[in-house]
Amino acid sequence: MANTYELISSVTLTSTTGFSSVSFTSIPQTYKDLVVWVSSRSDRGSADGLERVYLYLNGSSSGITMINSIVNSTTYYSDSYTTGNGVGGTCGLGSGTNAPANQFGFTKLYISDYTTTNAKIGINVSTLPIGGGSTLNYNYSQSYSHTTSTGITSITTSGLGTNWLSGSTWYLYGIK
Amino acid sequence: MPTKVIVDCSTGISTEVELTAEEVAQMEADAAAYAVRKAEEDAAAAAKAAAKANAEAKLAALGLSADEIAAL
Repeated sequence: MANTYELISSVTLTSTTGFSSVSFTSIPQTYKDLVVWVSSRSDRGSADGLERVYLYLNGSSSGITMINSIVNSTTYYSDSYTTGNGVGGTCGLGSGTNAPANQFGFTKLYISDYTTTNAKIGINVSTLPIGGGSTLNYNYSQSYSHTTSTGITSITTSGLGTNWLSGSTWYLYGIK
Repeated sequence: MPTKVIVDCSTGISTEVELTAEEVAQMEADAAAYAVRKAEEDAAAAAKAAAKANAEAKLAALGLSADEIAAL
């Protein structure tokens, strides 16, 4: 059973123009599992107020397969966005009509056995904004498998052709 | 040109890099694929809602109350 939880790296965006993607590279292969915590907001202008995330492991979306997906939402959203080219789910807030101003969505990715060739990935998303005060309530859980010839050495998240905005933060933790 | 942030975990250093043409194309392809899928899902949801409303109207015409229809 894992008994340590260590911060490997983190980044908080400061540019006013935002960034299209955030990558962690040269991930040490000395842990059992990885956890990525994200507090994010993008400039996506869709009225639903949501952003999507595209996940790339080792620079590619290949080898990522969705296993299951659960969506629970109220007020504005009731569909079941399950995959984006087989690689993504939903990730926090955009900047559309229903996205409350100056607030951020929350996402967690748990990647187990990432040093193997058959990692398992769990994603939990909430648009219940950090800071509260929104009627945009959206919770989402999804699981993936990742099968490649090597372990995971880099993780990249990007939005729907949009930019992650200033104040968005990514934390990468390792668990032994 | 869009930019990305790369965090090198071996050094802890973050760098800002312009996307390559291939990366931009991938982003555009992802967004386009999403738009297609969203349109398909929206259309399916609308068709399902219309069918449900139609069925409920037929049940009401048969004499079922709103509570009875909701209980089905």
